[in-house]
Amino acid sequence: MTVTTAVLMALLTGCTGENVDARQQLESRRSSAEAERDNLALLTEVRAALSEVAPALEWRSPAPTVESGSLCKKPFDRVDGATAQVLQSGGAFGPVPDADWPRAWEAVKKVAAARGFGDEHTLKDEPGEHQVSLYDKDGSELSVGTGVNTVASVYGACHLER
Amino acid sequence: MALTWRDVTSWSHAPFATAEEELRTTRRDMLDLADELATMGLPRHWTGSAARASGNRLTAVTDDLRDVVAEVSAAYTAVCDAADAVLGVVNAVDAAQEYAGINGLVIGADGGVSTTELLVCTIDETEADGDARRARQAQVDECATRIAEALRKAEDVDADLGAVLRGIEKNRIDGGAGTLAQASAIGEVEGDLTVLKPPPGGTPAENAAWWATMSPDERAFVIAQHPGWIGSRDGVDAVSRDLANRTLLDARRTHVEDRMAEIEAGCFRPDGSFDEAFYWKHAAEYTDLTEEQGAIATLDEMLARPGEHQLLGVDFTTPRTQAIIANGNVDTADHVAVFTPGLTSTVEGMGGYDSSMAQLMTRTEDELFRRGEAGTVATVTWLDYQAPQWGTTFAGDSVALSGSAEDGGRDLSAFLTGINTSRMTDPDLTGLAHSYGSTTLGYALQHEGAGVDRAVFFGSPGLGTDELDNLDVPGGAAYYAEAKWDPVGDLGRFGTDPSGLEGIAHLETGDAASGDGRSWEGVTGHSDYLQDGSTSQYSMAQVVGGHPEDAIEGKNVGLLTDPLDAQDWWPDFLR
Repeated sequence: MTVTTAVLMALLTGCTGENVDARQQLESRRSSAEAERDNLALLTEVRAALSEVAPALEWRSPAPTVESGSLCKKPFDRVDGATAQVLQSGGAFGPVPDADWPRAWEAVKKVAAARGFGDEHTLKDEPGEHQVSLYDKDGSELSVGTGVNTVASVYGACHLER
Repeated sequence: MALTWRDVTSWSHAPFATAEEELRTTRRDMLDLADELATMGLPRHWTGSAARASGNRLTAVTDDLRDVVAEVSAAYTAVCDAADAVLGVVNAVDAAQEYAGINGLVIGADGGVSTTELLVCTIDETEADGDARRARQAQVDECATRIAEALRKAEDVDADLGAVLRGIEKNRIDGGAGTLAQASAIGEVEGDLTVLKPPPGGTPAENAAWWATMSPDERAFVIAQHPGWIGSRDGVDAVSRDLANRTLLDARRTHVEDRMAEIEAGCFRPDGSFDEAFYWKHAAEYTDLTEEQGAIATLDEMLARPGEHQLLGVDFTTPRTQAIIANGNVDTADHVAVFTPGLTSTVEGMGGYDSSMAQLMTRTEDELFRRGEAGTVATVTWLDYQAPQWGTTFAGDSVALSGSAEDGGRDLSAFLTGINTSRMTDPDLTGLAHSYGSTTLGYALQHEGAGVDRAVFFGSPGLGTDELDNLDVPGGAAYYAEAKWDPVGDLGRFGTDPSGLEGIAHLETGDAASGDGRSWEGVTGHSDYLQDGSTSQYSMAQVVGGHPEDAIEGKNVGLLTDPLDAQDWWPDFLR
């Protein structure tokens, strides 16, 4: 398409383009491939940390996986190549025993901190049920919980494919 | 004589496989004669009447042989196709019998479906009895439909195969004047049996029953050659629809790219000058193509992301592109949620909704697994209607009118029904709907048999009714969430403001703690109900996962913006 035609057609169709600020914000973050690699590694380390404290945990999958990928929410919804992922540890049958939870959680926090996750939010910390989230600077959430079974997932922030 | 259920239950695929093998061998042996014919000629110097007679005889034999080869080839092709079709019939019979077994129904020798319950309305029937009776009747009807489609398929293959065989018997197949290989090709065309087309205007149950009569090879053929037959056909399984729709998407992408390039090139004359007349003549079409291009780009991006995605519908025939996309596998998930977005939603901009549905899927699965259940979840974003856009005129898809919601509701109802009928056992099915989408879901549930187990409306300008009883949702399974400062939720434009709708359960949207002590973040305004980690998302995960008892009840009622009878202080006797 020639430049002239493109301009004319863009005017005609009311093309507004993507949000420049949103793109710049995403460009300052890790790429989506790096985020995926890091988050999978994080979940692998979380699994290992939990299993070391609670060896009876029986993980359902051999390794963490990307559960789903999608486009992003506002303000990144119009940025080409913006992508968000949800990653799962696989989940483990069985709980982390109450007596072991503090030690397990400390171990999780340690591996998570090494990957930039902090800002601890405790949703529940009672006998038989514990659920805590940690966040990184981009807004990715590491959610770890134990009840009848144990779960660990990363609800990833928006990153750019490049 | 028409085929009966007793006939088709005795059908078997095995004899066709044997016949197919024998005909294949015969055809190959006959084609091998081609070499002999080629070398079989008259001696070079043999002339005279005997030579002419011999030559004529050879020509006649060759003609006859071509006809026979064509006939054998036709028979082989027809039997191959019939073998597939019969396998489909056998599968459909098995499926009907399995469906009957699962649901405690009895299929008689004549194909009649019976049940031990008396399915008639009695004078003392309660509402719950009526619901149960209608649900049971629907199962009887679905089983009967499966039987009817199996018989329709059986009649079709019987008629088609019979026609080919009669043609062979009456020497109607002409092998032509070419080689034996060419005669064989003619026979293949003559013996080709058509695949049974879907029932015109079929209901989801009829579509499901038709699709059940297809053998694996026939399904592959339809997906590859006739994707438009099933892409949006409610009742067909999600995996097949996804394959068909991806083919349709590829074809449309090519069309859009080619056509846009044509128009762009046409804007300039050979001498390089701009052709204003051409430009204006094609401007509207180009605008439509640009909208389609944006929609296709978004769909391509969503489908390219990791994880399981299913494209369950795509429609380029409407003013704005429509699409249905799922996270997870709708065919196998224990829990399926179908989300209908509302005002200003477009396919090009549906990525954010897709993201919300991806998060909801995993949140729900995590909640289930943590409590000891291993249920799987699929979440669908259903944008298969003309969601109103700001600035549209007071046409059918105006924000202010219900036409788009009513039309969309009809299609959404069929989609929901189709999810249930496409599976042997229904999933746990929840309808989710936001804004004008909730009006659309409200209309959908006014069609009997949509088959949802629960419905969650949020930020709704009305459900298209003043009575909750008008919605086909099990008692107590309709939920409404409205956040503070959500002006759309207070419009009450399409029926009663749901905040004041009697019988609906209200979900908290502000900061709140769930019954198990966990704290969740509140939202305000019209657009954040699906925010990850929010109170409303938590409750939706509980409802979708089949644990509505753990959703957080609560009501954010505006003193001036919601109806009086929605206020907590309003006396019950005045409600």
